[in-house]
Amino acid sequence: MAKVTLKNVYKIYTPRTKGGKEVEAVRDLNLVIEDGEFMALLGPSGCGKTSTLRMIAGLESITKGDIYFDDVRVNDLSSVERNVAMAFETYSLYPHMTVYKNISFPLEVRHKSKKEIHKIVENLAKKFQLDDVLNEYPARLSGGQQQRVSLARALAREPSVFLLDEPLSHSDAQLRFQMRTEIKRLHYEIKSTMIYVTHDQLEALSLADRVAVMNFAELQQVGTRDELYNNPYNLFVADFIGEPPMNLNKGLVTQEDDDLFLKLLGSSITLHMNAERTEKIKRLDKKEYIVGIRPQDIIPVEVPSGFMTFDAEVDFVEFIGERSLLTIKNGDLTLKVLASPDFDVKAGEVLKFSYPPERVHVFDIETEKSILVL
Amino acid sequence: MSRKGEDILVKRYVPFLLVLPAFIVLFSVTIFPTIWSLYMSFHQYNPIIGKPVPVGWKNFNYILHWDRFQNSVVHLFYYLLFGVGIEMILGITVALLLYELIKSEKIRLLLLVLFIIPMMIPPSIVGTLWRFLLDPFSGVVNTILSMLHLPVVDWFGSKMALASLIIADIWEWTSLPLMIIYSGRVSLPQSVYEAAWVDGASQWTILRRITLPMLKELIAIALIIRFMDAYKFIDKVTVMTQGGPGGASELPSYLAYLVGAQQFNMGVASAMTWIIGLGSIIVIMLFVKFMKKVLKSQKIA
Amino acid sequence: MSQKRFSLIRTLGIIFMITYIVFIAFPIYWQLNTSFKHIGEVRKIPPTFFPKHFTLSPYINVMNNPMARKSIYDSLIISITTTLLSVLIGSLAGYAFARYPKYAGGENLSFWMLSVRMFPPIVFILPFFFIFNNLGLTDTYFSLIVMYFTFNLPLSVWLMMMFFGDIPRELEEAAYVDGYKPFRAFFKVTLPLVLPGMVSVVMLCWIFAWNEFLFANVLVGTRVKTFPLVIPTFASGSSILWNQVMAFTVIAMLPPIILFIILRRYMIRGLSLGVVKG
Ligand SMILES: Nc1ncnc2c1ncn2[C@@H]1O[C@H](COP(=O)(O)OP(=O)(O)OP(=O)(O)O)[C@@H](O)[C@H]1O
Ligand SMILES: [Mg+2]
Repeated sequence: MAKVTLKNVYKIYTPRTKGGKEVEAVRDLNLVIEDGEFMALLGPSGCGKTSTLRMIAGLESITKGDIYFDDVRVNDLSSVERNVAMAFETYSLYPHMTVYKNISFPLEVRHKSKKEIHKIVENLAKKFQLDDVLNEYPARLSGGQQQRVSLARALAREPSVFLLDEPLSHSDAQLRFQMRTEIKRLHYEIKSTMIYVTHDQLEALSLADRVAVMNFAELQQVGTRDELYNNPYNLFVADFIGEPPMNLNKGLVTQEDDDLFLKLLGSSITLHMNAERTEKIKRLDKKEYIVGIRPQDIIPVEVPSGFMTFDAEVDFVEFIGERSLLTIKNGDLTLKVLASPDFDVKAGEVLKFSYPPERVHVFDIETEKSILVL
Repeated sequence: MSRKGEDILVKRYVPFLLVLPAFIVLFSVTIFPTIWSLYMSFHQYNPIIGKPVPVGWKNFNYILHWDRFQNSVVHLFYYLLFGVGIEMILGITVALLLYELIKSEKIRLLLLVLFIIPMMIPPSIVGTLWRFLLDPFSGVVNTILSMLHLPVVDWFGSKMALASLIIADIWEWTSLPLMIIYSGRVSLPQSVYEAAWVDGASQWTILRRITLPMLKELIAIALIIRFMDAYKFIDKVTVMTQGGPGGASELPSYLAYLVGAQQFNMGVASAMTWIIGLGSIIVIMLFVKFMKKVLKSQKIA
Repeated sequence: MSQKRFSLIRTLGIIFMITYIVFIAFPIYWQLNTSFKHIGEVRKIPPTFFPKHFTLSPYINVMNNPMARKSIYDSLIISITTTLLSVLIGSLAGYAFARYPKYAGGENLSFWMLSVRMFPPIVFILPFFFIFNNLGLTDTYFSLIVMYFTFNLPLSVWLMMMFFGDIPRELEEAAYVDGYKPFRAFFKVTLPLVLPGMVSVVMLCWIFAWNEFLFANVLVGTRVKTFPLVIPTFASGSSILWNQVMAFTVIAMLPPIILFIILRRYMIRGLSLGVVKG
């Protein structure tokens, strides 16, 4: 197993046709994946996740920058020399080999004994529910099955790093849950370095030790689940991480005595800033900010406590999963609030809501960065 | 079929009518020669001398014991082994090298066109051209050999005549397997190769375990097409050696042609064409088998 | 990526490739080289690798040779007639096989048709030689046209079947739905799409008829003469006028090569009997 380091990595695709435009798929990426760490690469479609993975795999040239496995610069090494295992986004199964042969191919190439190969393949087939199709050819499998074969083929080996590119995108919810457990257990057992690409945040957050969030070819933030959730560096991460998404609104700075407030535009809601935020806002000295607050962090309170609460009318109530989602209104402003389902409320009621000030996120309008990191 | 109302499918006979002209032509043109030559195979007949006389299996018996025919079969065997064999190996090698070594589309196309030229030249002209090139006295090949201080070769002597035919044939037809394999290689998915690199396969393993197996149906078809043509190999023999010297470069088809169209010994010639025809039916059946496989796999992919 | 270790194999590969290119190109070069020489220079031993006195006279002589001109004319008549017949009848059958395989006789019938093409021509030559002789049809356009038609038709049927098969029938159905009659739908939608394939079938049929030697050698030769038969006649006394022979072959091979360059995608499909998708 190896520690993988990316230093100022760029990927620029040269135009495929004359007059075509260059595509910058990855820009100035710096990322360290520790030995044995489970890192997820998370981001919307087209943000450069696959490109990053393919550069680490040695399938794509690195336009600029360096990639290290432990202390060895691997830019000029082939996939074989890097000893990576990869599950491809498009599966890339060998069409002329059975499922069994597909999974055993990387082992055969490494001259493992027949017995050993058999044991590994059988074991993986059981884990990934492929026992029934071991002797089929890929063309006869469903999309989800093909994907699992591709995953099993990658996991059959003991490489310096596993690279998994959206390995569960074609599985149904239940299967996905089981597969996640298997992958997690495997990681736990062999303590392997894993890089896992996905655009499903739930998958990323539940599997990975740390998550690297990417957007538009750039790394936005790397961190554990809690770090991303509690301290998003910028507007994109704040918006992208968390279900349902964070309430984001413009807020005007208002001052009363020594206390700073942000007044949400279009409403009478004023949010109290704690000492840390107050200091930052004073230093930045701007009139407007973007204010974010998660639906989970707005709490309906029955007993009026005055300070750090606001009034709002319940517009409507939806039930999502095991929670109920309220849409509340104050002036022209609507906010989403997550409440427990036994919280009994009807549309039209006016309630008081409170919020923990340390959970109010404030972002600079121009740079879209959290004021805490500015 | 489930479509309703006005539908050309309602008139089931329409597709049949469309096929009918082709069928009539091919059937009538093939049925007569088949019956005629089957009939003649069991007769002795020379149209100049007289009427057909029934002789039973005598023609077949004669042919199978005729040393010239036996020799021609041996020559055919050499031709298949060395001619078709080298064409296949060379074709596959060059096709894969072309794909691996040359990345520029333009240069690839240029080379493909160059490789195709021999196939576009009429076979009789290929024979003429090679007779000129290999001429033992004034030919450029021997000139080059002597410039390199190598012994010159008597290309149309009894030892080399068949080899010369084979060389001309290799020149003309290597491009066919080459083209088929090259097109097949181009259409193999790149992603499968990426998977193989990541899986740690060496170049040699990739060739042996990925490329060749995925191309095996196409290779079989190319081989069979070349095998079939072996029975048609007459033009170049006629132009280059006339089967000589002393029968050293005779092939079964050419011998049948000589016996029938030049010596007018229709009985023996017909029997010979039947033997040749039966030989080629096996090859045709193989072709059909692999063709179905390829067509099926193309529909899946 | 890191292919440095394979550089030896690479070098060998490049050497191999170059050798093959020379093997293929040299005879063509020599053909051109010879066709631009005077006959005196052609007969020089050792031969010259580049014409000392570049001349177009072999080409001019060939073009002025009445027999050569007649042979080109004969070749054109025969090859154009057979081509039109084969492509027309072949397209009808090919369409039926592609769209309604069951009603048209099925896979076995189409494979049987193709197999006619694969039979050694020698099987057909002798019987036809015999009939045409008896009917007094040897040495006529008709005899060659019938033979070439028979040999081209299977290829035409088969390839047209493949080309029609590539066009989804939904396209035609969409046209019915839009209110076209089946016949109009075919001409409006299917024909334009299949046209390049059809043109390449035309070319392949034409090239076969244009290049054919064996049937011509047996069935015609006096009144009717296709050009492959004429080539051996460029001689003065017993010695062959190689420069004229080569000039004539250059002229004769140009049309097929040019056509190949234009239509290569479809031609490759045709030359491999439909196996290779272009
Ligand atoms: N081979 C290529 N040539 C040119 N541009 C490419 C190539 N591969 C990817 N791109 C471009 O690079 C950008 C990033 O692509 P990439 O495949 O890395 O995205 P991704 O994050 O994996 O997306 P997804 O979640 O949809 O798989 C895209 O804009 C894409 O169009
Ligand atoms: Mg991707």
